[in-house]
Amino acid sequence: MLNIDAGTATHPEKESLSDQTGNMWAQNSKSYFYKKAFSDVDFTSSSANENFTKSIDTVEGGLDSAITRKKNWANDEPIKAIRNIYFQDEFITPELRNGFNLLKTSQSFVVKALENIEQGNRKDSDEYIMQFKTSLPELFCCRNISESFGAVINSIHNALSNMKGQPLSKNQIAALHDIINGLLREPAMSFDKAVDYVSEFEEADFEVESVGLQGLLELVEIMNEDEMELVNG
Amino acid sequence: MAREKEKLELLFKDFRLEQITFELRYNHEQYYPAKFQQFWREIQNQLTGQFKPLREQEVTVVNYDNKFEFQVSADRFAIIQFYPDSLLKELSEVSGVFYDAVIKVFEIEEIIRVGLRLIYSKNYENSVSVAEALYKTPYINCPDNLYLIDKGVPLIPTLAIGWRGEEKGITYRLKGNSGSIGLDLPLQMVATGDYPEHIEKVYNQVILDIDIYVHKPILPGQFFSGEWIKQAYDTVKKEGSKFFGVK
Repeated sequence: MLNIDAGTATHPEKESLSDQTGNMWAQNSKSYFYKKAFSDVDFTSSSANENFTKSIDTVEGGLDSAITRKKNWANDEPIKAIRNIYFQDEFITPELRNGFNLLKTSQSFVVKALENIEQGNRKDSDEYIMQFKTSLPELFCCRNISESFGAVINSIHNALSNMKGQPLSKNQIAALHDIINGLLREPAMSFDKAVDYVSEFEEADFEVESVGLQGLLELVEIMNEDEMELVNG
Repeated sequence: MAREKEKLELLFKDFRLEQITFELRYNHEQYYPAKFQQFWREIQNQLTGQFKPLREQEVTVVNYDNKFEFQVSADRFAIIQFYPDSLLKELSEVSGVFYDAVIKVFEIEEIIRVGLRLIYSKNYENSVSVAEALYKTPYINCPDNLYLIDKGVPLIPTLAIGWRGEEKGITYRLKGNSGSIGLDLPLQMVATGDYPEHIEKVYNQVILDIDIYVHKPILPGQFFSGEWIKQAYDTVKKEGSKFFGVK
């Protein structure tokens, strides 16, 4: 399997390059990575296509990481665990403390639900999801943490309500796990990022719009149509 | 003699917090004057106090309500407060407004370093006392009076110790600060006879300068400035006593 270390493609003079030259360096690096991908794939093997797709994925990953390293003068990756930024085990601000603790508890329910569904225990998995659901109203009360926090929790709440009691599939629980993890990593993420997370979550067959709101929007649309008809005679 | 020793001994609780600086550094390579205008508009929408621009070159410096000094440049911002309140409530609040505006206006994707710098001071009668106090810290073992050079002029040491972990760090600097600030009053005032020609403030201080920081990159969505400031300040208060040998 192809394994490119991003560091091997590092231009020796990258630190002193201007932005424009930096982009050229990035483009050159990209062609370097692709060349390396082609040269490392054995096209004669039976799984050549599969190997090639994997190689391209690895290449893109390697390139992204190389560019990130160039951009970052400290040559460091961002801190992964939010706890490592702060000095105490618990947040001092009550809202942050409650929100974060609830989120961690919720995450553990979702992890257990995922483990159970992987082992074929659908009933147990659904029970953990039910337990997760009970913490949503309280999490919604912590929406002052950030606009994105409120938006993501609201979307999860709507998505689960719109399931109307149907148990979640493995794919859906995995999506739930991802969005909760994203929120745990960056509780005050930008709103655009939150929209990206919600869109990805929606792709796992979830309906994130509120049913009540949908009904209201439909009503407004009907009223508008009626009004237009009256105007047009 | 025992009383004298007790007076000279340095204890964290005897220091007074003079100045606090909250600083954030980020990757933002280009300098756009328009962005700075947008930034100050954003701040003035939130904070209603009086702004006095001090200087504007590659860095904008603004005095806010005679309490804070704001410094903003293309790669960092800093908020400086003199004689802050004991819970740092004002700083926490103002930093939140600043942090949100910087992230939004400059479109910051990554914070490189966050730091809180606290400058404490303790006054002494003369520079000999300052030197004696510094030589009594647990880090120096110096025989009595050996720090006095010819004519009794003291040698004032500067101490710096610190710890730097994988993500966070803290540095303590302890130094003496002796000198005076003087000012000649204008003739209009002196001529009345009510005022002296010259006013002067002599100071002999031990300065404790603490820098507590996170040196690994942070995503903007991971950082809550008010919370971080409170936690860093609590840590300084807790660890500060230990620095002077109190367990």
